[in-house]
Amino acid sequence: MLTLNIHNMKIRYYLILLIFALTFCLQSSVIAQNISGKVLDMNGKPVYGAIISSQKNQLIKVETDEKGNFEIQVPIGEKFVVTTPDKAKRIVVAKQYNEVNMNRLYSLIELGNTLAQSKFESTAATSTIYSEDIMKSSAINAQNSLYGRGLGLTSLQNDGFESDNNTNFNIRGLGSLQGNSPMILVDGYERPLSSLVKEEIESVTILKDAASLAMYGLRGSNGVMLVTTKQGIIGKTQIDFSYEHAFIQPVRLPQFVNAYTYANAVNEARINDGITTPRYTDNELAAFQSGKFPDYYPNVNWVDQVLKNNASSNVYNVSIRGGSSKVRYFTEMNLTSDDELMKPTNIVPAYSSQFRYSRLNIRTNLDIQLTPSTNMKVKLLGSLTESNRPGNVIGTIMTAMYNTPAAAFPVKTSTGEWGGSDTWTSNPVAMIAAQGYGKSDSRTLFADWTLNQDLSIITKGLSAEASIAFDNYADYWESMSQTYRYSKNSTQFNATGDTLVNPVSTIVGSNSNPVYSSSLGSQWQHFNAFGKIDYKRIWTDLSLNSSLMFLHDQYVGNGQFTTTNRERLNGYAHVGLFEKYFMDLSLTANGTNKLQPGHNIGIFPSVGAAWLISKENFLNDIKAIDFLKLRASYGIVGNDYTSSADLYKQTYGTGGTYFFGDNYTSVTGMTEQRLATTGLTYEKSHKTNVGLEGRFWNAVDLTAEAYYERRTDILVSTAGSVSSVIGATPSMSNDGIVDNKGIEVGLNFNQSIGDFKYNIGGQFTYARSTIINENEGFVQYDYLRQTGKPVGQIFGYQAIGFFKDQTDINASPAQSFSTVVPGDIKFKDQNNDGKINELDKVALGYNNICPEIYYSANLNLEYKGFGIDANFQGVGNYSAILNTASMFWPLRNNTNLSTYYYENRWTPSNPNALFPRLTTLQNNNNFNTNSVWVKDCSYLKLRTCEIYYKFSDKLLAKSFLTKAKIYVRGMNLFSIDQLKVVDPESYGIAYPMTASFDLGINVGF
Amino acid sequence: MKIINNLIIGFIVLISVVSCTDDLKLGNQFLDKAPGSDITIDTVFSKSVFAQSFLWNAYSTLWFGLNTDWSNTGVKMNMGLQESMTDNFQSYLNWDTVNSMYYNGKYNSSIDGNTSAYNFITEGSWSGIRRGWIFIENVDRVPDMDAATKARLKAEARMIIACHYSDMYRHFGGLPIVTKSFKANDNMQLPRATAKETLDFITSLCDSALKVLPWTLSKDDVAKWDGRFTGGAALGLKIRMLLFAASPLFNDDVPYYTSQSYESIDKKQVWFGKKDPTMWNDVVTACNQFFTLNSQDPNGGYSLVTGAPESSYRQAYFGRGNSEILISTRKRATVSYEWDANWYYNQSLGHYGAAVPTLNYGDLFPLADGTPFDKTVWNDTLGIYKVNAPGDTTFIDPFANRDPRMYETCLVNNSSYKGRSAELWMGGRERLNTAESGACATGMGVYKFIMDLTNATSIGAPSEWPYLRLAEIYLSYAEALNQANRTADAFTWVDQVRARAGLKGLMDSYPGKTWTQDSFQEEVLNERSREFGLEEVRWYDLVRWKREADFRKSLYGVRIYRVYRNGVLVPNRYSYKKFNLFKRSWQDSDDGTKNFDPKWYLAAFPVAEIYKKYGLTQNPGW
Repeated sequence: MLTLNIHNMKIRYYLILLIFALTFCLQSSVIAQNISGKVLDMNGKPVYGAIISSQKNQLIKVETDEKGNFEIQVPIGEKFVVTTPDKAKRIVVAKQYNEVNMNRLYSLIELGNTLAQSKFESTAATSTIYSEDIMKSSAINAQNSLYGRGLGLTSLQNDGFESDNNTNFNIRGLGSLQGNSPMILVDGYERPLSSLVKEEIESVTILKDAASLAMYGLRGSNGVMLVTTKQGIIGKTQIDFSYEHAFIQPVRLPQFVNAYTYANAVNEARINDGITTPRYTDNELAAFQSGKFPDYYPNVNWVDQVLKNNASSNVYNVSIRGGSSKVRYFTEMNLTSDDELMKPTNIVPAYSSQFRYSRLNIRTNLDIQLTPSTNMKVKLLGSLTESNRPGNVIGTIMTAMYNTPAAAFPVKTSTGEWGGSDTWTSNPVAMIAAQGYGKSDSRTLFADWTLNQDLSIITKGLSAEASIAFDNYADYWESMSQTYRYSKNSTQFNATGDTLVNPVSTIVGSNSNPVYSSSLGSQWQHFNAFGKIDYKRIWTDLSLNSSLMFLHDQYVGNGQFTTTNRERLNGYAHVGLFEKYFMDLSLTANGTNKLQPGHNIGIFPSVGAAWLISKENFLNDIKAIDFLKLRASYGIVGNDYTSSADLYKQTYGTGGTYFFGDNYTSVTGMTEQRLATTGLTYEKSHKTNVGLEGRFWNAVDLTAEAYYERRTDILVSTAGSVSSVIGATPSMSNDGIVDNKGIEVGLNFNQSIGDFKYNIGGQFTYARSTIINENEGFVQYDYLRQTGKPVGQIFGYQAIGFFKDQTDINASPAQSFSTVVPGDIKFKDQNNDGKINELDKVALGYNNICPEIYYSANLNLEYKGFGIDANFQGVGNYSAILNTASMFWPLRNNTNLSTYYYENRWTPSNPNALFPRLTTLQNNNNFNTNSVWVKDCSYLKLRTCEIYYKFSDKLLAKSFLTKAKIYVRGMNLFSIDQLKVVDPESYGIAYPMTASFDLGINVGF
Repeated sequence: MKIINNLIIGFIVLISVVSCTDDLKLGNQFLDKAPGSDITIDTVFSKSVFAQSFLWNAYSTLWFGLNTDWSNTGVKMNMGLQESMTDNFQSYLNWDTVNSMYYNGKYNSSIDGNTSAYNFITEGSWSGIRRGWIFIENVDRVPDMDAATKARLKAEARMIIACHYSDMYRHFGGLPIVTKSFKANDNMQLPRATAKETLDFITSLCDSALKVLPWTLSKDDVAKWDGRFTGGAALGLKIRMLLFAASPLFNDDVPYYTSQSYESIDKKQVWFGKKDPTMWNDVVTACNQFFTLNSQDPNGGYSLVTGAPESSYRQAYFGRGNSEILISTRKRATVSYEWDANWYYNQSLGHYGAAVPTLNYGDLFPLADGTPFDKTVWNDTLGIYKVNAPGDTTFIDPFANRDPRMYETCLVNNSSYKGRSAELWMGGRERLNTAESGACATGMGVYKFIMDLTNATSIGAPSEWPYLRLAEIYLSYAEALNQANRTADAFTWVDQVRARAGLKGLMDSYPGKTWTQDSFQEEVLNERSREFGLEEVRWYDLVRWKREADFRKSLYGVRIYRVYRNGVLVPNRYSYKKFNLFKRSWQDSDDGTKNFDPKWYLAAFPVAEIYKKYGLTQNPGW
């Protein structure tokens, strides 16, 4: 301490005071004195097993009893520290009697690497999602439970297939040109979140700035999500049982025109295309309309035939939590089953071809105090999932459902054969019912083991920790596959057009016997070893929390070139002065085998500082401010993303056969592959963050952040600058630069007025990236240039209406994509060269990867146990490219036609339509990326809405229950957006998005 | 403390156990371990068999003139063919780039995607050249290969480089001259060489290969190794290049493009700067050398395939290992059925009309004895009305009794097809689609390469691309002799090619005709059209002779109708109606406006490539 170079008079003054204080403490400890108190949790319930220790002498330590009471030898006016089992920490100035309320303000913020800081002290930009919010979702996949939660986290759902890992996460937008996914750590190790169920998650912490991310070195640049599972607590055993049943319904199912309309539309399209012969004759049209001859002129609503109106899922969960000061445990068993929306049943009764999914998760987290100074933790998760599907994958079935028109063929003919035709050969119903099944079994094991030893014997405040984790996953497939036969029917009309003559039915294919096969789908294993030495000391006005850490990490994936080896060494120090000024210093060295030996270690420094303004004397009198902190951080974080393995090596491979001689056999070839990238290095993210956090009137929480990030050394191709004469796929180079700026604001009101409790909150984030360099090469016009635009910016042609007539076409610049006729899209000639071609593309809308604006609002009102809870979530500055076949790009390649398109198509009498004329041709003029299809994709969704009743303690006192809650919950009840007929998160051909009503009960014993 | 010690020991033991097959490694030993193991250049050149595999792979980059698959090199002009840019064929595949970039005149330097007639970047030529140089630079270190083999394989690698340059030379003119395999961080400032320097570079590659390679493969080698470069291939390619260079496109007193000045003209990258008639003598000299070496060959040398006219002609362009193929390239052996998506020309030619013969082309084929076909028959004597008039008993089928190469190249009415007669009449099986579209839109179809689309003819037979045939050397020799003012000596070389098809010699076929240098030249070009239909000869002939008139002229087709008399079908009796095919942007307008621009003679470099600023200059007009 004396080696500190002290310039500031004020600090010197404080130091003198500090020495005085130390002397005083030494004296006062002589006069032993007991104080007492009670620790209450955020709900006002007593906390059992909270540790109370003297700040000065951590060996003076007691635990609270079942009623939360404690008694400890700490002099009045001195400080003691309260630490609860669920990791909240509060420093209190001792009075004779102390009631200590541990609300969220005192929760520790996880930083990973078993480091945590109190909210008052942390210099890092983080946000935390707690179990109580996660549990407001009914998602059966934990990934899908985070929408609208966690300031700075963007999560979007890709399709409605709940058991899929279909959530896209981004932290603070798009910082790089590729690979923008954050790293997800579960209990400190990189593990897929989808293997967890939401019931076992205690919290998810989002790390966003350099102060929190620099420790993650080569893995931190896109942000980190720290998932912490529940742990045992000291106290009476709590048995918690919950059951949830969901009634699931598809939302915004595609609607397609009926057979008669379809046939008319095709004829109309052919006329538009200048094809004089109609595809369907008047007799045929009449037959479609009357439905008299369904074998030949059917009218099938394929969506109705393929999808049910409802599905259901069940979740059973039992968790047991408890322990003593010696052993604490959390164990949980979760059974989830999910039945999806497929309608047809299998033709072979022996097996099922339905979409079904079930999962069993068993977790045990143990926390054992081996000796007073030795702690051991074991966390184990075993997960078994089983999923069943028809012989075809969901995408294939959905494609057939979308693209088969109502007029194509009957589901089954009157003779009982599957329907089919020359043009449409895939019968969507037969694809589900008559092609066998596929079934996957996956097994996941997450196991970690940690030993922590207090080494105060050596020196006060020293401790050491070591842990290992071993995870693995495998999924196996078995399937029965078979083919089906179908009948294609054709016929003619008699002269009067009311009777069929010459009907012909041809059987195509055969009903084969099921063929069994099985295979390994995928597997991986992951081994981690982590070691850490902590040195924590608190002097009167100075606190130090320092660590030296080492991580050894090996991931072995499926197949060749998938082994990644990484090692990391961190030095970390958290320094506090006068409990007002805090500084985090971190220095990380991180090595990886993805980069060239000798150049594969990166050094990542960061510094963070926080000023706890509310501790300043000048704010003492302002009662409104409970807590106010200003903080800033700067640092460098890395990313060892490479576009392929061994990028630094010149690789050769086999390939390219050649046929010499006059025979049929070939000689094999060997060849040079892509060029080696010289000077390969890692991506660097230079992150600056300023944040303000506060709590006011004991009711309002505010977080505001502003950040600027410059990502350098992004891997980009050199194709734009290297001569093609080199004759090889150009190498990559670390030349890319992207800037990313944004703000985040979170505001929350939380108050209890008598029996009435309310919580209203909102979050708003805005992130905008700018490509500074991506080796773009030459572009002819500035408006074509991607550099200077956000990452993922959509480019396309700007539509200026539809061609009215031939005169209009003749008077307009020539469009080179395909021959245009009236009703085709007319584009703006951006360079005024009288031609519309690739040079007339401009930036349209935003990107369709990650919205720039992501916001949410939550509302919770509760009166005497009755409550309502809602969560709204929305996005802005986000674009969709509506190029879904049949839905928006209809009829081409014999696809279907949506009602929406049909009703909004251009016709001579509807010249101001939404969509261009009908065509059966490829029509590259209308169907390319242009402003007719690039649409505003912003939306506001009601993600969850719940009405619940929590039985009061009074009622429960008469029963054996300790808690009980029943609820009705709606998920995704509505969406306000511009797209109307399709879901803004999933507008392609995909399994439909769903909404659900859930009934749930949760009781504790 | 004891318990702690035990735990720490246990911990270390556990880590060791987890990674049991590999030793536990920490630090650099762990981090420097690559994610997987790879083949390196040292592996490739460590054994003769691997090194040869490397060269065989380089062979696979060679030009194959038919569209095969959807790869950059297989797709050609988005399944269209270069031949359809000539007056001999017209494309009715409306989504190919022949239509969408060339016929409509929209091709330019910035929209040059990967489907132009020859793409500077994606056609695979530069990667073929690179592989050639890597082989030449490294093969000397192969331990188990003798010096003679090394020399021969290096010469083959030089021929791969020469072939790619010869393809690009005929599309672009002067090129950057690559003489090694570049490293990623080499200085890539490699300016465009002059047209003459590029020519000399190509011919010197051929010359050095000629010194080493055997003139022909021995009979035993043909079965196994046919397709490898030989001395005949080297000298043959040199003759092709010398002939192209001697022609007026580059060898003239004025550049082909005069309406504006271009750096590429000033730097003589697209012409030689002067007319040098002695360049024709260079062709003659090379041909003389060719035939001298050919006669000295212990294996008997190359010779035209002879026998029955049509089958010998088919064998010459289609049969692997025949006696007249100098360079043949290969992509695949056979296909299983005609709709194989990776053997596309069966579909694009046989069904979609990617190259449909024009009537102008059909008219070039003489009668079976060699005397010229009378084009005037199309002028309304066979018109639909007159044929029904009394006294038409002397009906002669204009598609009958013609040069057998016509039946091999074109599908014409009543020719033998799939074991029956082809029905090219409106509504016939080949002409069900009576619009001007599809595979027989002009009243004729393609037969060459696809034949009956059956296993017995095309699909089941090992295929090849006839990159260079001896017949071309004959006709090039004739052309060069004629241009070198030795017309009298030239006749025999044309006549030998005609004789294989069963036609009389030129003198006998045109009794009483006075031959001039110009008329002989015309006849040689026509003979090349007839002999090399769909073999990518005509486009370069049009270009090197600056045949503006052939670009501008009208193209025709014929509608064939069956004849009914009093409502009764008259068998084997047809009436014919000649019609104008749809126009290309470079053809004259109906009112006679000239739309042609000489810029079309050479292709445009992609503008993005020029802006990499390593010394590429744009070709005139682009």
